[in-house]
Amino acid sequence: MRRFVLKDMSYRRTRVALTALGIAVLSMLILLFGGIMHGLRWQAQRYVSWTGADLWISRERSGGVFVGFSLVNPELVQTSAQFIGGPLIDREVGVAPLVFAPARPIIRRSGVSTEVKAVVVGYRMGKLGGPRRSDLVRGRLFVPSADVYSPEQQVEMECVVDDSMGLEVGETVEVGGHELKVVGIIEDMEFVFDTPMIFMDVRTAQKAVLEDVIYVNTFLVKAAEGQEPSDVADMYNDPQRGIRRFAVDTHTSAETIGNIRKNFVDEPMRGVQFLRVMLWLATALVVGMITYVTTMEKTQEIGVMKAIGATHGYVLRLILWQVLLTSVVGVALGLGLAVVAVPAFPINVMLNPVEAAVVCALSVVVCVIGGIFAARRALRVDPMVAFRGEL
Amino acid sequence: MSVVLEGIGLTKSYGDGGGEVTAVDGVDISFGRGELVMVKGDSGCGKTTLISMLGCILTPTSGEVWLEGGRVAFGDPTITPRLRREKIGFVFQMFNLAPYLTAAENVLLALDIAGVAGSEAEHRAKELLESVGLGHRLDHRPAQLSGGEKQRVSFARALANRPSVIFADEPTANLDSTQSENLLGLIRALRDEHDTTIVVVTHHLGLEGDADRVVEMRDGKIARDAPTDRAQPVSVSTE
Repeated sequence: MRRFVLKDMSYRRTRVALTALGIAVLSMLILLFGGIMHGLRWQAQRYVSWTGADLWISRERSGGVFVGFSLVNPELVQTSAQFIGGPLIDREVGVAPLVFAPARPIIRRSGVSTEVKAVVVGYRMGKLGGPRRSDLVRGRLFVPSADVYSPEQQVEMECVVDDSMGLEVGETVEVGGHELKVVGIIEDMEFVFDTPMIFMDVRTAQKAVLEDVIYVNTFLVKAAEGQEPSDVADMYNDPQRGIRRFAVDTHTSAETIGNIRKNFVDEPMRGVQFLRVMLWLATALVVGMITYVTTMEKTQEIGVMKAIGATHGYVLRLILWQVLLTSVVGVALGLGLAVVAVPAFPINVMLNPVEAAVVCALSVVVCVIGGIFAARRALRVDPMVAFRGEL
Repeated sequence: MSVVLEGIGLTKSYGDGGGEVTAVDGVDISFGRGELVMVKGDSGCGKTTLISMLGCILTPTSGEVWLEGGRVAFGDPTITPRLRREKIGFVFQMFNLAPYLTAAENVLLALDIAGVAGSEAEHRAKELLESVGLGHRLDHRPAQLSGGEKQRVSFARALANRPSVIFADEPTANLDSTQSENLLGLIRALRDEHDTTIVVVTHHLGLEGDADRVVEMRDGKIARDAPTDRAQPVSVSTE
């Protein structure tokens, strides 16, 4: 049977090629939309996972520093968190303050000022939340400020930036009206929607984006080796002995990543998901329409086959083999186009091999379902047509 | 000669009420094994409708068809395709060969439908096309063949499943006189070589002398059913 299928496809090669191309373009779009969402999900967890923190302490009911507005008084929270955590938290890293704030830095080059998007991250060197020396691809880390806060304290206005900002060591960037000198470059450190990150000392960040106040946005906690982060969280959340009396919430890193994904990816991307379903329907429609037209054109041929004894099953298999082959070729071509298109895409797109395989398989299934609906037309062909016309 | 195919009281009506048209009206007819029967009559007299019912393509409004001693169950949708696949061959006026397949592949398609594949099918297709004088045209597509050659491929396709009966509907209608004579020669040869009943619907008088019987239809009924000089007596099986 396959010989006749291939011969028929070869005879109608232009139509088969155009159908496969249509499937390819639609499959490519479905894959790329998936890749965009996968890229966003990856960025959503990238920074949180990279910090190595187990718990995030933020203002109560703020939803966490990444999705809501959180300001925490470090004098109350840091000391209490360290005291309450006791042996359950990492002795070296312990509880680390962090400023995390979206900003619109200005880059000046050749007399032209360009406002860009970025996230300012202020952390204590050697603690959680920012790069270590080994993370840099060029330059050095900033000069750290004193551990104890003092408004008169001299603060070095230095920063480490992600290379996607296009800045080089020695250049400057204006953040919150302050000129910061770029002293180091880090790679692949972008928050969702390709937002590059600027790292600096927590005091520098307080000065640049928090009007020089004592407050920070969150605290990162590292559980001691062998301790479950959930046990530490339970202790912090204890209404009697915990730190909730300072009006803070504790989230695990998994919850934090879940909140970021929900807020930045899943909810905003509902429209994209809907569009993907629409594209699948369009794919089924394209295959269905072309199969229907082809089946209509082949009425005489199907009638002759039925007249010489072909069963409904035989005729359906003949049509569906063509649909299957065209779909597989189209989807494979779409996958190839998507892989080629990824580097050229203006935003971060990551094709997940497992998801791509599932999407390809689903696309073929959708095409075949479209083909089955259209091929049912063949079942209604009366073999008497064999006596009436010509092929 | 035993009866291989029989139609009893075959009637086919279209429409209902005042608009009802009866294409075939209570026809009784039988065919012996290896018999060559010519069916003739004016256009619209019911020839094609009759062979469609006898060929298990069209369900009669009333009446019965018996094929090789068994009554055809038209109500069962699996039975009639199986009978057409295994016991009946068709040759159509317009050839109806798949344009994208070669002569050999058109025969192979019929064999594939009948469940014969592989080298056995290849061998049989070649053998059949050689028997209709097209051994040199195996790899030619219908567009590369003359009308007569196309009809020969149609006969080879009809013979693919070693049928008991072949129905040929106006096989010479689209052929010139030379091609028609050649095709009639082929039909005579096939009748002599194969133990197959051949029913030919035709206006071509050239076949009349070679047929065992000539059936003439008029207004859906058989007006004349006469054996020719070639006819052999038909024996009715009692099984």
